[in-house]
Amino acid sequence: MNPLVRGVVIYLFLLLLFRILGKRSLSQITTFDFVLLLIIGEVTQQALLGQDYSITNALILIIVLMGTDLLLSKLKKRFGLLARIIEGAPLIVVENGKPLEMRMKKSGVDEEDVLESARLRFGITRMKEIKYAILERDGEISIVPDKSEPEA
Amino acid sequence: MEPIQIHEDFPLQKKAWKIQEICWVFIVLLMAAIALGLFGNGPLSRSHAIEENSLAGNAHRKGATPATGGDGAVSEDVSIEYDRFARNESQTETVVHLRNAGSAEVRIPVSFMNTFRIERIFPPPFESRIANGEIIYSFKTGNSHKLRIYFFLLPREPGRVSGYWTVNQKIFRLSQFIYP
Repeated sequence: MNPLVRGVVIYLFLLLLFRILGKRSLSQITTFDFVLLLIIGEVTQQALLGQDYSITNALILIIVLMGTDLLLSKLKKRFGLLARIIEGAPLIVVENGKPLEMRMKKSGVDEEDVLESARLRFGITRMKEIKYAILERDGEISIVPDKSEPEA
Repeated sequence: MEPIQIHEDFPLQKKAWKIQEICWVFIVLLMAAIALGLFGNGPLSRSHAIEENSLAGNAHRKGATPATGGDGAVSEDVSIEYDRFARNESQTETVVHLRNAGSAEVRIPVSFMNTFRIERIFPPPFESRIANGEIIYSFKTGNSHKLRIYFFLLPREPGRVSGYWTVNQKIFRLSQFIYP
């Protein structure tokens, strides 16, 4: 099969799959997620290269993958809707210390995830001290601490 | 509104969740289909070729005249087992089952070789020749009551392939789909 077709098909398939599985699907929450990611990489590598281990094939595929990425990023810049469809938009999951249940459930984030992020970044220990928690486009949870809350 | 500057798109987000949920169901269904062999290696894929018509009468009927080289066998029985779904560059097995056949002659159309490469035939034929656009493999089967001849094939082109294999003058239609 033509390397261009191979590269583009794999690129688009992975893009679609990870979009379907959700932002938080493989954001290295656990060690096993990381291992799974490695395995997926291994399988993809075989599908990309097939039986052809030539340098030319490798270079072609790198160019195809980078090129597709470049093209897509240009398109995303040009069409805002496309960017939001492909990458999603940030989503507020905690507002003024109150978890927004429905949003959290739908996006697969639980209170523990939010608290973990809060602990890691700011040493915040309670939900009350969080002004905003936002599920960012890359699946990370960013925390905005509540300044008005007196620190214990 | 909120004092936070953020470009949320909640209507789109809700749509995305809906699509995601539909896709999750689809993924589970797809996994079931994979388990059953929609992409090869499973009961959905493994099948027996249907005998189109027999040049030597109905062999399934008891006591029917045996086809070529019956050697006085009671009733000769032939069938072909193959993969309906195969994947490009991934080996598949086509098995010719023979019963009470003194010898075997398998004819494969040459055009078949455009899609498949025969990697190995087991047991190896004692003779192979080409006639009328077909490759003819001949096997001596001795007095074996039951015999299987394995054709290990490597698909080289994706797409639908169908063709007729002839075993001891019985014609079988093999229809396969090769995934890219």
